[in-house]
Amino acid sequence: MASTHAPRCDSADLRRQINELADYLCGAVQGNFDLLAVVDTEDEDMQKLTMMVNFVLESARRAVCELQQREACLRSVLETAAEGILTANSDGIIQTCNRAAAAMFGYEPEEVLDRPIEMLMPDAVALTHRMQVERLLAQPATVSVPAREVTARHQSGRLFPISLAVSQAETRQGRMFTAIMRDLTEEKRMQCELAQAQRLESVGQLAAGIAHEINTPTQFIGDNLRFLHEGFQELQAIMAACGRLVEAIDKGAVQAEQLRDFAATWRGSEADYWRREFPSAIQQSLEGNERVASIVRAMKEFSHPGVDTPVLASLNDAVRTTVTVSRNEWKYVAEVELHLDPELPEIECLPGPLNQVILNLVINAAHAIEKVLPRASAEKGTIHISTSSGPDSVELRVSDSGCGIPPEIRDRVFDPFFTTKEVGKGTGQGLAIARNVVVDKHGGSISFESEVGRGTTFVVRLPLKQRQ
Amino acid sequence: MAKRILFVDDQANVLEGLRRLLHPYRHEWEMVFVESGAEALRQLEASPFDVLVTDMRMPGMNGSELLQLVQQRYPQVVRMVLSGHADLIQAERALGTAHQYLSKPCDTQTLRATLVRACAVKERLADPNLRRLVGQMASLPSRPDLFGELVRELESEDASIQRIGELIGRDVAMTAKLLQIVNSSFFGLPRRVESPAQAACFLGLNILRPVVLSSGIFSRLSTPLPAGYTIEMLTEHSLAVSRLAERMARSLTSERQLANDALMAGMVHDVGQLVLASGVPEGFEEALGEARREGVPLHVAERQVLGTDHAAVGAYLLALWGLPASVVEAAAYHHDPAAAGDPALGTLALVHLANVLVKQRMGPDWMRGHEEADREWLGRAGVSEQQMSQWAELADKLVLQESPA
Ligand SMILES: Nc1ncnc2c1ncn2[C@@H]1O[C@H](COP(=O)(O)OP(=O)(O)OP(=O)(O)O)[C@@H](O)[C@H]1O
Ligand SMILES: [Mg+2]
Repeated sequence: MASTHAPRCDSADLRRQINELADYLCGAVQGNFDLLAVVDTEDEDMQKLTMMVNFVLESARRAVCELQQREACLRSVLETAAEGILTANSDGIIQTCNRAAAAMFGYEPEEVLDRPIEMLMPDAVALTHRMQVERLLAQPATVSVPAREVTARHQSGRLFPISLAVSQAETRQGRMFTAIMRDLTEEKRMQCELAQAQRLESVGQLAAGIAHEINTPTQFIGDNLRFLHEGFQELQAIMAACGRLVEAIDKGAVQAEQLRDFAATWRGSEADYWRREFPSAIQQSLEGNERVASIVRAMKEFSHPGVDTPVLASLNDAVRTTVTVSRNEWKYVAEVELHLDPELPEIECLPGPLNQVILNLVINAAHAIEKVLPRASAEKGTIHISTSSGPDSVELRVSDSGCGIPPEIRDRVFDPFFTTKEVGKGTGQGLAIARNVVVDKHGGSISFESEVGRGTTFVVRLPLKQRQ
Repeated sequence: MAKRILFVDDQANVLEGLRRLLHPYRHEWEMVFVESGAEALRQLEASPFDVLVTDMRMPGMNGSELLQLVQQRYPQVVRMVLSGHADLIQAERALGTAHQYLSKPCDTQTLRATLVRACAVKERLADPNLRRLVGQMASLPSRPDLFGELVRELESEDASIQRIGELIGRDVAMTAKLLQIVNSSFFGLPRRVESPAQAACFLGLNILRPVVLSSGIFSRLSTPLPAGYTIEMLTEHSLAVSRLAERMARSLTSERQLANDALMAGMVHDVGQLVLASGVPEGFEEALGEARREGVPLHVAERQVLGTDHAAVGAYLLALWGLPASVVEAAAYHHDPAAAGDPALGTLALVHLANVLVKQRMGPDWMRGHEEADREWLGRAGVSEQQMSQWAELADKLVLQESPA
């Protein structure tokens, strides 16, 4: 250590200087990096040591600064995230909670910190929660739970749906759980509205077609009645002539002239024509009238307003109703063949939404057929609809002789807003809503088989009974 | 010769009903009923028809396609739609290719009367070439400035229907077209409207927007008109006649009907000039030159050059489009009321007189002062000398208002 140039330094001095350095280091350990060590010394070695200490202090200061910045950054990400983010330890005590998470449940962040996470759950969920945590603890920390829908409890006691994803990490304090949550209330409401809107839209679209279905028979009923009316006036003249003749017969004084008169009236009339036309004029009017009546009946059935709890209803009736109201949508491109199982049991269902499902399938079938029909030809395709029953479910099949679904889009057709149709013809909601109604609302299943160029069959299975 | 009517509908029951309904006309009309567009074309090819009545939605060839083909191949056939469809878009499209649009269910009287009138349309215009020309027309040219303004108004967020009605009412072609729309029962409007502005109100923006912006049945003047003839000139004259005739009607009776008809008939009475100027520009230009040189009224020169005049052509178009009979008559005989038959103090009389009064007071030189009112006929129709001079004063006032210069 000794240097020939260095002035000598006594040991008391040295001790003081070392103590000063130690103080600086102490301050740094307590987080005070702002001061640099200034040691009053002539000793070269001591000066070198001070420099080294300052160097270390400076590096530490930078590192801490960076850490602080990174943490602030992370915190602001957490705080401003739209998702609710919350951590809890293995005892289920909430460790951190961002603003979005607290707000979602109607609290301030401080109100939930260090409290058990069960406070955010309805009792039924809280009961099973502990078990789920145990199950996670038994698994390696890399296991996470993907987002799923669960019910949460608001501070006000209101229950609401959230999407919840859980991941875990091993820390020195043991397992930590991170929950990422999204409030689904609005989304659910939108979905509901969407379904409602699509239903209204399809009713509106149907309305034009239904109007046509009613206007056409009304036209020929009116024409026939006018014809019958005018024909009857002529018949009355003949009948009057008959009356006069009968009177004369009764009086026993029929004159040749009277007979000639009558013959002239008869020949002057178009009796033959009326006789030929009257029966079919009447027959066709009755048919037309029956058609109008059946459409009006079907319309009433179809919309089924206000039933939002399951009722016992016949799937066969639903098919007949829907095929009738949608007649104008398919009749120009297809014949509909029904093969309905007469023994089909009634099922517990929501008739309105179910009619909507059938309608969506039938309209899709008609569109698929229209696509393959040559332009301006009078040819038609076939839509084949059948029902059958199994031990605890019924099955509906809607087959078309249309274009088929190409393999590359098969896993997308049920996606909301997926459509291959031009604007105005399809919005891509038909099958999404069908699946929502069949799977989510009825616990059934919907699937399809398809062959490009030959056609598609959609298969809907519905349970006989709804679980509570 | 019996008129020939071709009915097309995919529903046999509808055809049967029509056949029975029209049984009383079996001696005057030869009626053929077919169930598809393809069959209709075969019939048209085999022998000529006067009127076509078709359904819109049919499997295979639909009504629109059929109408389009008939418009191209057999333009002289009067094309009518009888459809039960409540589809607005289809109706709009059809208005470009069909002359008239009837909705199912159509009441007996309207249906029969419409057919009777459609069958008689041909008599209004002898020249088959001009009939083909008019029959093919889907739209008439409008004043470019007015049309542009109308489009801007319709495209703007806060479009006002009043303003749109007013714009339409200032243009001859648009007024005529609007009256055609009003007369198609599809839109369910009262057939007697007061004014273009009121008709526009009835239709509303939702219908007018697509009709004007995309259907192509309203269009701006794009080809140059013969030298010395401008669309502004026609508009100015028509507006003046329209206003004067309406005021004259109001001085006669407090009933709105006559005044409304006079207003509308006054606006479209010269619509035939638009047809000729845009359809046979050379012939029209020659007639115009002749009128100027010889100092004869335009319709006289037209007859010399073209063999017919704008009154006949205009009346043919308006009748084809199914406008009310009083308006068609006024257009047909506004130069020569005596040809219409017995004198009557109606729309024709008012338009005839208003036309002369306006011409004596405004317009380019060739137009002014060549024409005299048929005082004898008007007198027999019940117009007194005193009345005549009162209306002349009214005309003075109106024309002064119109052109303060
Ligand atoms: N029967 C079918 N045959 C062929 N393709 C089909 C059939 N049904 C559905 N698709 C395809 O699936 C897509 C989605 O169908 P979906 O019913 O959900 O919507 P969309 O029919 O396009 O519109 P929307 O039903 O809302 O009017 C369709 O665009 C079409 O490409
Ligand atoms: Mg669909």
